[in-house]
Order: sequence, then C-alpha cells, then structure tokens
Amino acid sequence: MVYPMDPKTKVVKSGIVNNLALVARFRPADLSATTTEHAAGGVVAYSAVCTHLGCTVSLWDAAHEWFHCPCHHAQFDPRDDGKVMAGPAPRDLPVLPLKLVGDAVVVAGGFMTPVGPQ
Amino acid sequence: MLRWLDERLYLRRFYDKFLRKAFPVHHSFFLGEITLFAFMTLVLTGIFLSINFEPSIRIIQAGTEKLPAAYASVRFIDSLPFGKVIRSIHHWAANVMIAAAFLHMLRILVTGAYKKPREINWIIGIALLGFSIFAAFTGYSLPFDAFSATATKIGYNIASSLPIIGHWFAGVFFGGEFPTEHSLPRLNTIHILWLPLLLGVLIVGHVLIMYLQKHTQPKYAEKVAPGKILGVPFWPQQALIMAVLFSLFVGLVAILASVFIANPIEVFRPPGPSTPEVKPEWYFLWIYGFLQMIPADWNFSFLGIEIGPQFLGLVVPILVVLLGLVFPFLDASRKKQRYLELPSQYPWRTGAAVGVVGFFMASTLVAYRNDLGIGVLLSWLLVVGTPAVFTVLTYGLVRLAYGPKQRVPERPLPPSGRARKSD
Repeated sequence: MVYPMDPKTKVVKSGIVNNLALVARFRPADLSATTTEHAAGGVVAYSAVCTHLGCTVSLWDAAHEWFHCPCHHAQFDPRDDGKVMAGPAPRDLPVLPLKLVGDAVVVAGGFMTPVGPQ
Repeated sequence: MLRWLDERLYLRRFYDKFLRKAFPVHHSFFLGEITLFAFMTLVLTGIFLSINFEPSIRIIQAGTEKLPAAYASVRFIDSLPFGKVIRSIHHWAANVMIAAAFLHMLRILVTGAYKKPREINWIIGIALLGFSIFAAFTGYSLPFDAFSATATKIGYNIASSLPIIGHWFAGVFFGGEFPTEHSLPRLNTIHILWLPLLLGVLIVGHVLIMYLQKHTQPKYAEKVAPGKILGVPFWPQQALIMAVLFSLFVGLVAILASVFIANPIEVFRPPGPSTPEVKPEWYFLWIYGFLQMIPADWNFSFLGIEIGPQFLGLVVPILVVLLGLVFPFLDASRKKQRYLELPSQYPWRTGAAVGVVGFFMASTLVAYRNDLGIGVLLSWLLVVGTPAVFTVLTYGLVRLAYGPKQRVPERPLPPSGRARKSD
C-alpha cells in the first residue's frame, strides 16, 4: 500500500485515506487489454478504499489472486481493471493510471473513477 | 421528624400511591428490571469514563509515541486502578442491557401483554431498545482504535447510503465525513448526554405508565383471587428483591468483565492504513448478514434516486422496526387486558415469536457465510426458511403438547338459567 507523492513539491498526503493506493506487479501478458493501457511494465495501481462501505482493501486472496476487503469480503481482480469478482461492492476499484518514465513507475493522472462509496 | 416531613411533603400520600404498588412475582417479570439495572450500571461506570476521556482525534505526544488524544486518554483510563475493569463492565453492561430488553420484549409478545391498554408502552419499549442500540453504536467510536474507527466508518457509510438525505443525515451525526476533527466531540456528546437523557426520560415514562396501568397479572392470579391485584408491595419486599438482584447483577457483570476484557485497544492499535478484520457486536450481526447477502448488482434507480445495495441493508431493519411498531394494532383486543395470555393457548403467536428469534439467528449465521462457505442462494433460503420452519414447528409442538386450541373458557351460565332457556 502506498501514498502517491507530488513530484514537484515532494508532498505526501498520507493523512487522507482516500489517497491510499494498492500497487501490484504481474507479468504484462496476464493483464487485460484495458488494464495494460494504465499499467507500467506490469505494475498496476488502484484505490485502496472499498467501494462498498469505505474500508481499506488490505487483504490478498492468494487462491484467486484478488484483492480482498476484510470488512464484507468484497473481492476485486487487479489484472482486470479492479473489477468486482465477489461480494457486495457496487463498483470496481478506481484505477490509478501509471506510466514508465525511464526506469521509474510514475502516476499518470488522478483516479479514473470516484474513490470510495458514493 | 418523619411526621414533620410528612406534614410538609405529604409523604404518606406518596407512600400509598407509589411505594405500595403491587409487583407480581414471576421470574419472567425480572427481565425489565435487569434492563434497568444495566442502564444504572452504564450511567455509573459512564460517569467514571467520561471524566477521564478526551474526545479528540488530534495527534498528541503521549510518552514516546504520537497518538490520537482519544486513544491516549482511553489508555490512561486503562492505567487507573480498576480502570480497565470499569471500562469492560461498561461494555458488558451495554450488551446485557440490549439482550435483556430484547428478552423482555419477547416475554411481552408471547403473553399478549402489548394489547389494550398497553400499546403505548410497547411503542416506548421499542423506542428504548432502538435508542439503546444507537447509544451502544455511538460508544463504539470513542476509543478511536483501529477496530472502533473502522466499525464507525462502516456505520457512517451505511447511514450516508440513505437516498437523498443520507449524506446530510450522516454528516449531522458523525460531524462530517467520518473521521473528522468534529466527529468525536459530536458522537461523544450524543453518547454521554443526549441519548442517556432521552433513555432516562423514556424509562421514567415507561415505568410511570406501568404504574398507572398496573402490571398485566399472571394467569395464576385469576385463579387465586379473580378481579384482585396480586403481588408484593414495592416497599419493602420488592425493593429488597431488587436490591439483591442488582447486587447480583453487578457482581456477575464484574466477573464477566474481568475475565473477558472488552475492546483491548493496545492490541488493535490506533487507526492505520490497513483495516482490521471487523465483525460487529452480536446485536448488529443480523444487519451485517444482510449486508453480505445482497448481491452488488442490486443497484437500481427509482424516480432518479440511486439506491445501492448498502441501502437495501438498511431497509430490512427499518421494516422490522415498523412491523414491531404496528404489531399491537394488528393483533388488537377490544377488552382491556388484565391477565397474561398463556403462550400455550396462542400457538400461532408463540410460533411467530420463535420465528422472529429464528430470523435473527439465521441472518446472524449468514454474517459468517464467508467463513462457513454459505452461498448467496442458501443464505436467502436460510433467512426466509428458518422463521417459517420455526413458526410451523413451534405451532405443531404446542398443539401436540397442549391439544387443540382451547378458547378462553366463558363463565358457564348457572344451570337454572340454562334450563329455563331450553324450556
């Protein structure tokens, strides 16, 4: 789990839970086509705030390789745009688009959908 | 001295009117009293907690650590002599209060004591149970450890899933989008001032109405002395029984509280980026069960209002409360109810009461569906099927044990009168 940093000011807004992001790395070939567009060398990032009731999606379901929310067991597929795979979450996890600059993975823009339960 | 006071304060009149009230003696009549004892225990332990608690999430320097002020003050409470036990008693007394209030309600339900003239007290009782649960919930957030913050946040998001007014409504109670710096002062004031005050007023009303209408008499009173009110007077007999029961209550809760220390904040740590695996208290598990069995694609919009699955989790409790409120008017009686009805003579109603218990049991079981591997379909079958099966089964068993339903026997006409009619 990470908080993004502003490259110019080096500010990390770690006090704001909506800034929390999940980062995972896969083989680039395993990612779905739309996910590949926002990934950087197999690295993907999503909002860590569950779209169900706002818990932090902090568990990893090793059997399916899905993100797993401990509160009400919503599960999301990190290789397919954070899609809801099981549980009560109404929306997919918001994607945090990434890009490669030289060797570094950097954030390419804001979360693509609203963060948290709406 | 007593006479001097009596001539000025009319003590005699007070004594005759209130202290001589007859209390029927039956163990099932103590459930309401246990609820009251729990409330008293909560107020007493709550005074101790509130004078040491700091309702703020601001980060302060506590020893070598930087901690939220509320968390640090609860750690201070735990360090005081008996502090941890008193906090634990507060927690367990809240659990007992809700359990005892629910059982008290079931007793009223199976004996038909909600009927005329006691409908108002039934409604006050439901309000008391509802506000008690609300009070317990507002207490959740106060220690501000990782567990309590997560649980409160879930509550915030459920409340804000109400259509249209949700965001505003949740903001009023939680001081904005939980957790903000306004959250704890607000929740704390609601928890230690307004809800206890409201509960206190409602309890006084509940008891005064009971004094006015008298207890529903147990069935044996009809056999022993028909038309008379049977029981022991409040002073001194009932008061002595209550004093003994209260001491017993405090003792047992203290043992429970010292063996099972509640909410160990040192283990949960202050709120951090990761979520602990939270399961709510048992009296919320049934709602938690519903939250998990509603599939995510049950989103729909109605007249342009978005309704999500979170809100559907709220609809069920609202329906349950509404059903409870109108119940005495659905099963009304025209006569004033003086005596309790025997559960065995009303097998359908007794069955329905057991069905209600079955409903809560099944939806609580569904709360563990991820651990038990219960699918969505099976969850629904359980929640719908268990109450139905319990109701029919209880009906069958009662009929089997007590024979076909006996009408409440009418007073037989004197033989002479009947003879004249047949002439």
